[in-house]
Amino acid sequence: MRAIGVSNFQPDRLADLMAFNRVKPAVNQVEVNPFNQQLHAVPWMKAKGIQPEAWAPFAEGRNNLFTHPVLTEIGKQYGKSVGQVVLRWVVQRGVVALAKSVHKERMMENIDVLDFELSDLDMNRITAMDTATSAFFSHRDPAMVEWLTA
Amino acid sequence: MQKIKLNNGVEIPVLGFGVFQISNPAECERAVLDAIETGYRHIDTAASYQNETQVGNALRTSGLARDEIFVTTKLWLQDANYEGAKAQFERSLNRLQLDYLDLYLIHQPYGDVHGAWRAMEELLAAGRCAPLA
Repeated sequence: MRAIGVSNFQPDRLADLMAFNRVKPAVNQVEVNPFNQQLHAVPWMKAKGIQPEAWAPFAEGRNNLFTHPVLTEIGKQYGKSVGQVVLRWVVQRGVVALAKSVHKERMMENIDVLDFELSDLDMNRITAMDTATSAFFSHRDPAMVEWLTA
Repeated sequence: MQKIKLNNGVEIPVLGFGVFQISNPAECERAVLDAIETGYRHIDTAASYQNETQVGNALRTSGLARDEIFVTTKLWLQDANYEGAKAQFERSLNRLQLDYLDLYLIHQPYGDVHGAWRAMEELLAAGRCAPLA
């Protein structure tokens, strides 16, 4: 094993884990997508030397992500798909992106995001899409905790 | 593939292939092989995804050298305690058919995460790579 980390920890839980243990988490894998950008948590983790990883970068297509007008328009400018714009935005924030597809063409598309750079303006336009709300569920919702731990 | 250096010096590829919800065994194995062929060198799975065996099969079939691929798996919350982490780590390694993991994560912030973390610290410190005999 080369590194250990956590997933779905919010900054307060990370701070607690670090306070009482010796090894700092190398990684925290959390939901990061244009609707739930972790605008507070990502910089906090980076300041602590914890690498953020993004699960569900496309929000599994919820909220019509793949036809979102802002993302579509940005994609047109760079000759890239909405998915590529989103993955580029994740990586450009210094976050590791985990994309899933069972289609080889999509896999190729999703890996082809390191040859262009989004302008500050376009990065900011995506930042403006944040709703600071999970596209799925809150790890702080007691009903969800009860369901998951049942 | 561009990489980012973690706080312990280990490098992680910035783009990974996730296998959440690829539950059909044959499809999962093929998808991981396709991903490797496409150029992915970072695979992200979890005990709870129930496809570690298929990921392991694909890694073996790919013929990639072990140090050419970054593999992550995760400890599910029902096992989030000291003993559970030690035991489940071995089981995940066995299913993945690997000698070592690149990254092991506590999957959810519930249960005895401090106990699980101490077990993971020990596995890391011991350089515990191969499953216990």
